[in-house]
Formats: sequence, structure tokens, C-alpha cells
Amino acid sequence: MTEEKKDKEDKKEEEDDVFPFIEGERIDLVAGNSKWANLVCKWMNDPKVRHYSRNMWPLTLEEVKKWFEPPPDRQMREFIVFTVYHKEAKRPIGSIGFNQTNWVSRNANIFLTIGEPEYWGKGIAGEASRLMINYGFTELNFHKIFAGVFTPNSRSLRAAEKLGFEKEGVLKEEMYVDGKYHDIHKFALFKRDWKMKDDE
Amino acid sequence: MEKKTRITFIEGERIELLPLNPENVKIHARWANDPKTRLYTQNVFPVSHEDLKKRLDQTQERPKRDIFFEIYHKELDKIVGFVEFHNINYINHAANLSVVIGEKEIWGNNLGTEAAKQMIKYGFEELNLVKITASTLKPNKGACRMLEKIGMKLELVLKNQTYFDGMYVDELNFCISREEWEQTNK
Repeated sequence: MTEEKKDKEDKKEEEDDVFPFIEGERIDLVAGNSKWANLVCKWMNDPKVRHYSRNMWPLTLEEVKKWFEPPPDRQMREFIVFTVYHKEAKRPIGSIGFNQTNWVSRNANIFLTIGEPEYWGKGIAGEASRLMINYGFTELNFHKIFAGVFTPNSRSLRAAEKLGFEKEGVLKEEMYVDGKYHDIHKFALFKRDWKMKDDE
Repeated sequence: MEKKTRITFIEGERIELLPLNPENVKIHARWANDPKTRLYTQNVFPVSHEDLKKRLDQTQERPKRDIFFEIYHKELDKIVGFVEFHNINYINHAANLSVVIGEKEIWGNNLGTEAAKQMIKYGFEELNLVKITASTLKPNKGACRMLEKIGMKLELVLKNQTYFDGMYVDELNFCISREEWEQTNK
């Protein structure tokens, strides 16, 4: 088999394993696949990536594999996660999701990691966030989505404001990062404000 | 003998709603098998108290899909029935309510009405529901009156849906929305 042909078949197999759940322009949000555990493990341990996604623990592949196990039946999930899949490059580049979901008060925390730094600063995080927020309000019936950004992460601070999040408060010296305490800025977005944006 | 502490979750006028006490499972089994009571709850199979214990075992799941309370009668100082939200849907924010007074001797005293009212308030004000439904069978006149008394409206009739006591009867679905409830209760 020629290299080219093999490559083509690999790509084909790759595509067969991708199940887009929410379609975007440059990226899709797709259901997780355990074969990406290696990749996710790489992202979470990558010094540059984990600096911003605030992971200070070494993560083994075994642990990451557990994340891909199916959640218990019947139960509402507290944790909803998608893989951010780059359509043109045909590869996963990050994860996005909701955690701390409160189904009674109808709110959740949004989190996002673009694990491949070459895709930083290209508006992909913004696109993924918009898809996720829309999903939260129109399908999951959330009332409020919140996010926390720590001070040196200026890119995320700008992104949050651009998405229409409003600052709710500052948690002083909440987070210890690289030898220093940093503030966490808490942002919130309400469904009523998101709707107004959509109508414009 | 030492008097057991009663664990109260919702305080009513004549009744209180208590979380399930596993020690009471035999009382629940008696109701579940009682010919008259089970007729309306559509229990057509025998239930051992072990079966029931398994079914009522409160799981650790959060948010809870089913929420079960015993109805405790203050004056009689005993449990007389149960109320339950089942199939709570946290996307649609809807739940199905059922009320059973297991002690036949005290039927007709509006105890079910009082318990159902407490549940509806709990559902709207604490669980953030927007719609509560309940279903009953046409021959269960008492339940129909009760549901109307607490402000529920008939939404849907499923014709000859259920085989009940030797014949097919209609299933009636009632509902109340949070707006409707707020209009009369706020």
C-alpha cells in the first residue's frame, strides 16, 4: 500500500469515528471518543496548556481514559463535555464543556481548553464558546452560564467580554499559579441577554 | 420505650411530609397490596416488602429523578400515605405528581389535597419546575375532584387506555403551570 493511500484510509477511518453534535464554521463539537485519550492526556500535561487550564497535577493515561467511560444511566450529568474538532485539519484540537451544572437553579460553569497552542488567538475559542452557550440556552434550558478567568489569562478575559459576559465579581488571591497568588474574575451571562443578541 | 425522632421535610397543617423511613417499608407494602388501594394505583402484581425496599431505596443521584415523601398525620401520629414526583425532567422542568392515601378509613378527609398542595408549592418554589402533571383514571372520582381542587386542569383524555377492574377506562391527564399556580397562590 502506498503511503498516500494509507494516509487516505487513515483519514477515512478517522472521519468514521467523528460524530458532530453541534456544527460550526471551522470547528464542530463532537462526542468524545476514547481513542483520543492519549491526545487529551498530552494536552492536560502540556506545560503551556495546563498553565491556563489550571492543572497542577500530573495526569496518567489511565485516569484520562476514565473520563471517556459512559456516565451512569438515567442520571442527569453534572459534567457535559465535547471534543472541539477542527474540520479542515480533520483533528481534535481541544475540549469544551459545562461543569458544576445545577439543574434546579439552571446554571453551569463553562470551561474550554484548546490543547493545540497553534490554534490559539484565531477566534476558535470564541466560535466554540458561542456554540456551547447557544446549546446551553436553547437545548439545556439554562438560566445563567458562568465562567472564571484568572488575571494573567488576558486572552480569556477579552473573549469573555466579547461573548457578552458581564463581570460579577473578583475573588481575591484565589488561585496560586507559578509562584504567585492571582485573582479570579467571575463572569456571568444570562439567557435573556443572549436572546437579545440573537435577535439583532 | 424511647420515642423515635421524626424527620420532617415539609410542615403542613394536619400533615407533614417526611423522607422515607426504611422501617416503614412494611406499612407501604400493606398499602401496595391492599385490594382497594391498589385498584387505583394500578398495582396488578403482588409486591413483597423486600421488592418495595429495593424500589424505594433512595439513590444518591443528584438531581433526583424521583422524590418520595411519606405523609405523616399529626393527630393520628402515624404515616397514612405517600406523595411522589416521578420522572422529573430537568430540561423541560416538568414532573409527574402522584398522591396515595394508603389508609382507607381516612379517605374523604382532604388529606391528599393538603399533601398535593404542599408538593406543588415545593415543586415550583424549590425545584424550579414550570409544569406539574398528574394522571388518574376516570372512575377515580375522588382523585379527579382533588386535582381540580388544587387548581389542576384536565389536559388530555386517553380513551380506554387502561384496563381497570374488568373494563377499559379513560386515563385523564391533569396539569398546572407555574403561571397558573402563581396567579392564585401569590
